[in-house]
Amino acid sequence: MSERLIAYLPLLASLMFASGILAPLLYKPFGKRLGLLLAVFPFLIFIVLLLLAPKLGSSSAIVTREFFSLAEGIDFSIRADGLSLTFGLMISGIGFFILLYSAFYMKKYERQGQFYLYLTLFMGAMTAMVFSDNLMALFIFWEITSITSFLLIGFDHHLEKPRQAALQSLLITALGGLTLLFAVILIGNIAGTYRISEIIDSGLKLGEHPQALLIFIFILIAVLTKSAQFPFHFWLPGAMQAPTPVSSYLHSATMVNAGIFLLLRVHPFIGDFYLWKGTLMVAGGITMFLGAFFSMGQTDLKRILAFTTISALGTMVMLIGIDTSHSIKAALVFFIVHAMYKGGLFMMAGIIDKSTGTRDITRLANLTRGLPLTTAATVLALISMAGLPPMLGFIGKELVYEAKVQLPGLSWLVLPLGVGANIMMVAISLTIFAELFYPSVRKQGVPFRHTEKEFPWYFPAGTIILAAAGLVLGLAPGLLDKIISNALLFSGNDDVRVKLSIWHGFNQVLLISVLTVVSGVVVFIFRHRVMPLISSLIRWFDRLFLPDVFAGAIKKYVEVAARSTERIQHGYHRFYLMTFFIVTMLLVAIQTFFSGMPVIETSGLSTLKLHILALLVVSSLAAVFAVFSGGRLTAIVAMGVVGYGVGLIYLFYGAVDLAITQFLAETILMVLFVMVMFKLPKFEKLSSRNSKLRDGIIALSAGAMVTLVVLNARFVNVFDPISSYYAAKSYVEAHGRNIVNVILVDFRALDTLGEITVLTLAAVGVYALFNIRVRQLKEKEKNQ
Amino acid sequence: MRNLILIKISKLYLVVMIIFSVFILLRGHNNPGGGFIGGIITSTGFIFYGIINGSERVKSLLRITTIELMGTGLMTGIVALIIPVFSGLEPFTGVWIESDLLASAGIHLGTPVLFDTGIYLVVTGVFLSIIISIMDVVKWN
Amino acid sequence: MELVLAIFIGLLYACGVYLVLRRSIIKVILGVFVLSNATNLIIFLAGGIRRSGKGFIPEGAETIDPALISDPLPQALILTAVVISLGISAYILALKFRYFEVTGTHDLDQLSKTDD
Repeated sequence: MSERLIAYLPLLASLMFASGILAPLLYKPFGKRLGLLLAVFPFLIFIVLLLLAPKLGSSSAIVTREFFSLAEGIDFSIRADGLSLTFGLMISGIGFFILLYSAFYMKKYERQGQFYLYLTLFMGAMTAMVFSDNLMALFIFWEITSITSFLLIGFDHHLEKPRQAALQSLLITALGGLTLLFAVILIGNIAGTYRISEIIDSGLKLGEHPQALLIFIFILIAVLTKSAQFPFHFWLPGAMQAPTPVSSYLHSATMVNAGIFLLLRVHPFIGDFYLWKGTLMVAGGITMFLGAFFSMGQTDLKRILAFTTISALGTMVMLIGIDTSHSIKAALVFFIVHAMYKGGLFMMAGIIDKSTGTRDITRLANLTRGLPLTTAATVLALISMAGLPPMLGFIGKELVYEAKVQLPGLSWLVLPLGVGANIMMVAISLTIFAELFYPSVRKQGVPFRHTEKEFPWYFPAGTIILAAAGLVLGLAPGLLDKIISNALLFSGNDDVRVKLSIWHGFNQVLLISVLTVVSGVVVFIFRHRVMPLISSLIRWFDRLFLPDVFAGAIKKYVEVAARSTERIQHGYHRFYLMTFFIVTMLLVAIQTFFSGMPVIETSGLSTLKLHILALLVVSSLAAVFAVFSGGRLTAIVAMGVVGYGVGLIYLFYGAVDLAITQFLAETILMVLFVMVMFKLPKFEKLSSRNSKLRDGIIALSAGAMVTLVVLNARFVNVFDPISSYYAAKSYVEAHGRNIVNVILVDFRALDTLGEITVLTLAAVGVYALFNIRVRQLKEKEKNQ
Repeated sequence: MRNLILIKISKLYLVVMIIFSVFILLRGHNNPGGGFIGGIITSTGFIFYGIINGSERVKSLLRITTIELMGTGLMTGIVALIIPVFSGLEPFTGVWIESDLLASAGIHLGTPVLFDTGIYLVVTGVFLSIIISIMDVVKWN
Repeated sequence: MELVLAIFIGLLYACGVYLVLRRSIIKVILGVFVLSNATNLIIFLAGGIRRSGKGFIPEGAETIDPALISDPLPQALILTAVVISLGISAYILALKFRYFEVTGTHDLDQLSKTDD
């Protein structure tokens, strides 16, 4: 049963890719319903995964055979275990709502077909990534998510800011992608396979390996960039320039969480490295605190949410860094919690934007009137974000605290950072609630443009259902037990008995929670004093580094590149050629110098034939004449003589077809030359005497070099000529007595096909060049 | 250069060249000749015709555009290379019509000949296109 | 004979290189043309010219002794090369004409800046 179920996955994923690629075409017939249509795919995937989950139990993984192989060792196969299922469920579930949401949100946008193309490709790549059983496939999909997210963030490419943000995110995540590739290759070399299941089953531990440091650094950079960790975190707030459905999706279940997924994926075999704990804890801890702290200083709703995402990601990285089974369990639960509330909240930001036209929290107030359902859902999501019961967020936060408290040695550092971050989270949740929804008399908000009733059902559906799911899971967390245990097992933990519950009894953790909430409320009350302080701090911080410095560095780089290009690409045609000839000659000269002067063998040469000699003398004279001739026509005729001379040489040595072709081609070319030449000016003396002398020396030495090379090469026969095969098979197998023609149309037909294609392209080029001109001329005539 | 005798000669020359080039094309498998040579021979006929009558006349004589001619040639070539697949062979294999009647007349028909015809069409099309374009622009009429 | 041919090729190369180093685009095209001819000759020479038989299987025979004929493979390669270089030359010719029409000069040095 599970085998059959899993067989649907690649099918559905490919369908999703295919429909994504077809989206621009499908947009015509389906129009604005396209989003609804495409939403079917993630929904089906979600259902399949949901059915698959109980089959897996708490300790088994399903691995399929490869169904498509890109190259030796790089194949696409599915690995379904708790980890990929957890991520897959979130990606497909939230993806479903995002597509529904986009169907309304993107209504007024142009190029919707392209939008759905990028979004579905992104979704498909993300799904495929978490289910890949091959590290190379994982890398490929990882890169696809980087590229599609670049396109999505920069979707409003007529504006400067989204373009900049998109470029920034691409440059940073591409750096991570590159290092991931290095890491994957290194791991593959050590393990002898790229298949994750084989690596895990072999019980390989890379921590003691001499290259472990390198691998770890590569993976670390990949994770820090993708998951927007300090010091690479700055691309994420910029990425909210994307249309809201995209930000919502990027922040909640995909993209930035890919880093978390990667960490958990490689944890079984490299988690024992000695730097794992310290580095991840420090990076995650700093990010967690900074993100939460900075979010307090923002006024744009989406920006606030972006910073809280950074904080949440920091929390997850830090938890993985703590590296106990408790902490990883906490990280997994926290991922689910975060995906649910963040997806809902971002969609809420979009809904508010649509209904009022602004996202500035200082200008919004009393939204409950127009958006009752959204308000209810948002309140639930905010409770989850603040980590209060009865939402799933409470359980997540309790687990996080528990992991931190139980951490031996370092809890004095980690705990204050975590508590600080959570205080900020509580405060920010309260702030959003108070500013947007709490009935206020003092503040006059912007009036509604649309109320909830004017939206179709599928627009606020995501926010509401995600919030409701958070509530259900918070009340019945046991639903997650098995899948989390399974995920834990396959992220390299032995203690897999997971029992989630909402009530842990009175203990240290609960005490800290209460403390957090109280402090959060205090910060909230004094928010009008705290917020300007933080925002001025952020401004000071921004000057120190972050986007501007990054953009500056890129600008500098481009400038330096432009300057050096200008120096190399000076635009003088003959100096390019001169460089080329001189370098080639120097290389040949060096080679001759080191290998000694070549001895030219004079034995085995064919006899000198006087008539050919005479022909050569005439042709040579014609060539020299063409070079020094002052008239155009004489030069062309002299060139023709050279060409015919070459043709005669072919004829003398038995190449009949060749000779005919040469004669005909020569004739046509001369006719064309003459036709064009009369429309062109006469030769002028353009070069000075000195430059002529210099060119003459270069030309003569080039000629001498070619003579030497030809004489040497003439006697090098590395392989037996294949011609004897052609001579033997030409009539027997190809029914042709003209061996040259048989080679052209039968033995080497593919070459010939390529050659006639090249010819066609040349002709099309001429056609384009001239016909554009003709059109201009015609227009000119009309105007006169 | 409107000269009645020249015009007549150019027409005659063109016809002769076309027939000659087809002959060259078909006998190319066993004797000197083939698609490349045949194509160039046809082009010389058209050049001569064009020089005397102008490019417009060449175009009206052709009926189809040179781009279409080239496309037809490329398609013919590709089809010739793919036909063997339908006979259960690898693509690019030569398939021949075995016929004693034709063989006795010294004619062999097979996909290589078809492919050669494709080459012939492409080469003709390419040079015609170039000639016509150049004539148009230098206003050779 | 090979020696003489090699010197001939060298001479053609010298002419060709000298021509492509000129500033006048007409001469550059002539140079390209000479160079392509010389290069074809090199390939032809590489096949060996001692055997001067034609590359045909005589009527009635099924095979031919490869020692009797010139190497057919270079011939086939050069044949296509000749046709392609004809196409390319025509293309450059067209390009040159356009260039002259647009810029009013045939001096390549005027082309060093793309901005104006």
